[in-house]
Amino acid sequence: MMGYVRKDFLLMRKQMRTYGVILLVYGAISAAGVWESYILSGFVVLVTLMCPLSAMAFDQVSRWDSYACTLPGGARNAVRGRYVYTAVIALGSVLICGALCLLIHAFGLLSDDPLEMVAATVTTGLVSLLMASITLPLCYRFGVERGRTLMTLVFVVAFVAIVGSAGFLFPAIGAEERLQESAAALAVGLILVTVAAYFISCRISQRIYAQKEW
Amino acid sequence: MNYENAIEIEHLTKDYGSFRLDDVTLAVPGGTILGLIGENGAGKSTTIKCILNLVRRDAGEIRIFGMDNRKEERAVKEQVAVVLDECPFHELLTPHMVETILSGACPGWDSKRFHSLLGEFELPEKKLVKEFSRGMKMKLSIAAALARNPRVLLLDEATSGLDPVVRDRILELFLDFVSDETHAVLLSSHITSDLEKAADYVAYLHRGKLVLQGAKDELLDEYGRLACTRGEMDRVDPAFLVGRRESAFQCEALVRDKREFRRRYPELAVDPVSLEDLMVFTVRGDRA
Repeated sequence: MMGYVRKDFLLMRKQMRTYGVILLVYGAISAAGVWESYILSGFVVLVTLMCPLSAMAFDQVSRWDSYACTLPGGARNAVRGRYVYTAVIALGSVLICGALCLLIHAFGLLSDDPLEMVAATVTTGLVSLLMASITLPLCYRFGVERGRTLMTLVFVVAFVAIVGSAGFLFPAIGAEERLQESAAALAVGLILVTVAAYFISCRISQRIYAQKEW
Repeated sequence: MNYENAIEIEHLTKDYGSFRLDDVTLAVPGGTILGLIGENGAGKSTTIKCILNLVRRDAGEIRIFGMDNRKEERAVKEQVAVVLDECPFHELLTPHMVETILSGACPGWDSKRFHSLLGEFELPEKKLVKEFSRGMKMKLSIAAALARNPRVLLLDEATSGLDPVVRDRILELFLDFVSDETHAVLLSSHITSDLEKAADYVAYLHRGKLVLQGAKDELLDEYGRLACTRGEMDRVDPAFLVGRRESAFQCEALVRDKREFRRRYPELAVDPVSLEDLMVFTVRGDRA
């Protein structure tokens, strides 16, 4: 399976270099106080979603997909490799962004609470993996282009639903205090939900991939 | 089923609606090369895809060294390497990177063999695939297939796009590969001259059906090419004729059972046939 993971890293090496430069620019802008440091957390989502989708598009162009299915690990390992790659990218992005936030803070360029900044980055990492759990099976089923469109639709609907129901879920009076009290439980819940969703998503994608005809 | 056969296909059927691979039965014994010939869309690639489980067959059975290709898929795929008609390696990769990828995806990967083949094919290790010609890409695919140390090689138009010198060397490599009795090659190709050089057996697919198969030398010995006048052709028993073509000056036909034909019609000259003749006349006979 490691071969498939390596392939994605090798294919995406140029894009990852570009993302590295963008991250440095974001970091500089945050350090200059122009943008909030939380913009770095948003970067985690961008990279975690864009890298696997671009690698998937490359595979379609070069017809690697059908070739991968002729190798001993077959469709199963090809999909598993893509999920491992996505998870490594998410983890790497969180670590780099978290470290950058702390570094900027250490130089006294940010006034935000460093712990809060790291927590925000980790949370965005988990949310980006949740988003990938929805996006990857869609892309395996419908192809990258249609998968992206469907993904946007799903996220818009989800966003509207959450914003629309926020009033019922978190009544304004005392909401912040209640959220802070249950922060640990929420964090554990988010981790469990993300891990479960990611594994289920991987199994679904493996099934979709195995049923394809090439 | 006979487990001395490397590949055994029985009653293979795959229906796409507009095309049907129909009841194909063939075997590739160990230590041999089977040439799969047929016009475009005859079902050659579908047969190879069925062996690799890239498409789901509607009926039939496929075994590789006695192992069912669906029930023991992983074990089968460890024994089989494939060269598809297009290079599957992305243009942003180099041969060196291809090795990094495949060594982590294929148990039994032989790094030394891969490098030796790259040298032999004069493929630069650090050059991007996008800078390769079609022939170079094909050579890279062949090197990657052989470096997996497979027992069965499936080649789908693998020699197309290569110059004659390289094609000859690659055919030599395939012949060397099958000098081990536990190895076999299934080579699908339009270039029938390659198959005449390398194949031990030939199977001819036409419109999804296997119309001809057997040992290549026996087939070439059984069939002959008749050239005569229309009057002479009309006297010939149609049971001998597989296909014919006529011009203003002469008639040509593929005749089966060449020895019996010569005995019955000693006055008519029958020339040796090529695999291309077998293909062309069979298609014409089918259209007639």
